[in-house]
Amino acid sequence: MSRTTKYIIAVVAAILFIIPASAQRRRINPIENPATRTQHISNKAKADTLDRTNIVEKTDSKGNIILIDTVTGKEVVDSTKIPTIPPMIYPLVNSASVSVNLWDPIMRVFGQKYGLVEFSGEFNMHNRYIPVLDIGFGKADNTPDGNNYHYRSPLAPYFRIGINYNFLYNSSPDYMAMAGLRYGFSPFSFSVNGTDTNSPYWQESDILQIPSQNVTVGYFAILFNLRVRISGPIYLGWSFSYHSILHESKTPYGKPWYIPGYGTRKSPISGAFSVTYTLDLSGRKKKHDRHLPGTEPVLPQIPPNGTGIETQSETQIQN
Amino acid sequence: MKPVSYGRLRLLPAIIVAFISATTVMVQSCNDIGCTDLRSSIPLAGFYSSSSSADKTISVDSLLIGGIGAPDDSLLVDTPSVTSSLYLPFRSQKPSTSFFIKYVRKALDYPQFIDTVTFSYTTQPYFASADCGAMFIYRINSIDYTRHLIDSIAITDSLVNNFDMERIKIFFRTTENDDNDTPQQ
Repeated sequence: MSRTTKYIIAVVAAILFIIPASAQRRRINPIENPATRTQHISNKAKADTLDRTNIVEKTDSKGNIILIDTVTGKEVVDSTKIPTIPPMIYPLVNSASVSVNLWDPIMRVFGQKYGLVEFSGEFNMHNRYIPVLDIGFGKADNTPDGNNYHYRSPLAPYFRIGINYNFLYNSSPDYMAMAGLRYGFSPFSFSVNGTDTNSPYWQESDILQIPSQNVTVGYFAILFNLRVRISGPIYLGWSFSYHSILHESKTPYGKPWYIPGYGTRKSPISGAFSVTYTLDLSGRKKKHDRHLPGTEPVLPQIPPNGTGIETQSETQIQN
Repeated sequence: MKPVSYGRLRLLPAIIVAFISATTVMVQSCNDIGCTDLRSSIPLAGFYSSSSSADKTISVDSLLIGGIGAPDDSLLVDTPSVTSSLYLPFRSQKPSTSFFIKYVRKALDYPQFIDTVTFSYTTQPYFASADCGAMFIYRINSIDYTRHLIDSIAITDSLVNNFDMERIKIFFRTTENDDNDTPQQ
């Protein structure tokens, strides 16, 4: 064996010896492993842990329960007693609704001289936030008793946009108590015809005619609304609102008496009575289908031997 | 997740009934305010002394005031009356209205001392409100008057509508201290 061959064998042997040795050292002496990390956390947790045998409780000014270690004097807020905000149990896309306001049609039957009909579209988010768009039509035709003028406002549209907030957002959607905010506006016209004024002193009368005036009025409304499910997707709702005019066109012949969607100028409060159709968009099953998977009720059936009718009113849980 | 149920929802029918009743009452009550202004546009004229403060009216007696051309020579103020202000109705069909002021005290009861006042104006129809109704309003353009015992006439607001406020000040020449409100012309 030559000297060169001996060197090669010695180097290979050294390599074969060193590599397994180094690998074996990594396994034996790890710098950090899950156990050390766990031990570290455990120590910290131990340091934060209070001995329950030495604890007294006090309530601070905010209503929090304070745990006091009478040995170390350490004070900790009892996090298990902190009230938590209940989560919203209904999905973001919960439902959509269309409504028709029957207040004005009903009131017209009882002699109201203005108003016509209103439709609303709603999008229910979490059963809590409900953006609303109202579109309606209004008109007025009035010759009041004790006054000698004829006020006329032809059919005109009005629009309102706003949002409702449902206070019962985590309860059954069969009941809704809502407060809302609206901005509304209406372009319309009015005229006053056939009016005469008398001057008792001069004993003269004159016919005056106010020609048709084009007006646009904008207003805001704050409303409170109750809604109750009557049957299936049909709801009934009642609301009253306080409203005030924000802006309006100026006319030289006076201000309009009736504003579509707003009502009469002098009344800051109006009411509504609505019938609503609601379309569920949440994907939840309907009430009569609400069963756990595999717990569908078994319908009455005639057994094969024909001995009688067996009825199972209880649900069967399939394992 | 099961919806939360509230025991207070049992009160909902009563709440709904109360809600409807309250809404109806509130809506109806807010619709019964009535007309709080005048039902026609009549300017109010106040009487003042030219020798005293313009902020204080004077009471005048022994006057006859009426419209020139009024039916049956009817008067607005007759002699026994003591007045410090007066409504002067305008004629809606005319561009001007004239009034006369006759002094019936012994030393002044002569035709040459009768003062006349003529208001020229433009007329416009106006819808005041549902309760006050529609009426004519007037924009006073000019005043012509004689100055036998009238010293001057001032217009505080040329627009005459149904708001009950004084728009015309008539200053009389008076001979005594006017603080006792019993002037003599």
